[in-house]
Amino acid sequence: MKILGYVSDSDGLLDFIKDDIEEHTDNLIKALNDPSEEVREACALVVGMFSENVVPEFLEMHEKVMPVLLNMIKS
Amino acid sequence: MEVSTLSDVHGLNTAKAIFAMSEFIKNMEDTEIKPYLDEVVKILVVYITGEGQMKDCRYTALEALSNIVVAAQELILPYREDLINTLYEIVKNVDKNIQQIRGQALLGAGTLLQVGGKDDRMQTALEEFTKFALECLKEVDTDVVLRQTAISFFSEICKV
Repeated sequence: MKILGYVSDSDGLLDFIKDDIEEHTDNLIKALNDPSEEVREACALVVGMFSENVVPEFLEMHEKVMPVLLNMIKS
Repeated sequence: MEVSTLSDVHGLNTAKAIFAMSEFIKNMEDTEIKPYLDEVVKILVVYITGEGQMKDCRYTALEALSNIVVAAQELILPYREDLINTLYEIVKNVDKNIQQIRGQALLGAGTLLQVGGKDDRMQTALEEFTKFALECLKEVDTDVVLRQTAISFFSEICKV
């Protein structure tokens, strides 16, 4: 997951992420609910990276992403 | 709403989750933020005001608040007075151990004041914020970031 975050920062590879953003978002959300705190921490970082680089496609996934982030913060 | 950080690791992870949400929201349109705004503000206020919370969580929550105010623009107006009062309570606490947090609260206040424009009900708070910002500028030993924060605050309130 973390690698994907760094890849999103690359102009050359960004389109590959944007093309499959729905699948990547679903995987990210699954990982945000991972029992391991380390995995959740890494995914939080990826959310930040995607939010900056994969726009507007990732932001359009807000109905999926926001509830999960809010849950993470409340738990 | 009760939230708590159970351990240092948990606290750091919570801070990262708040940071992730902050980054996500700051690039959203105000119409996209609208469904979440109420819950987001409530959660952030809990972390901002929780003196038992880790500094990282409080600081990140304050940073998130500034981002949300900028993104939400006029949608934040119903919350503005309460948020200003919350930030005022932080800034007037002269505990030097929380200078960074006070600075971030100052930045948030500047952003809120700029979005809503002048309001006589907030005059006392504005004076307290301005006083603290001037202290930050005058103190030679103050962290450079705090001085930059003070300059940003004045830049925001100039637009009011």
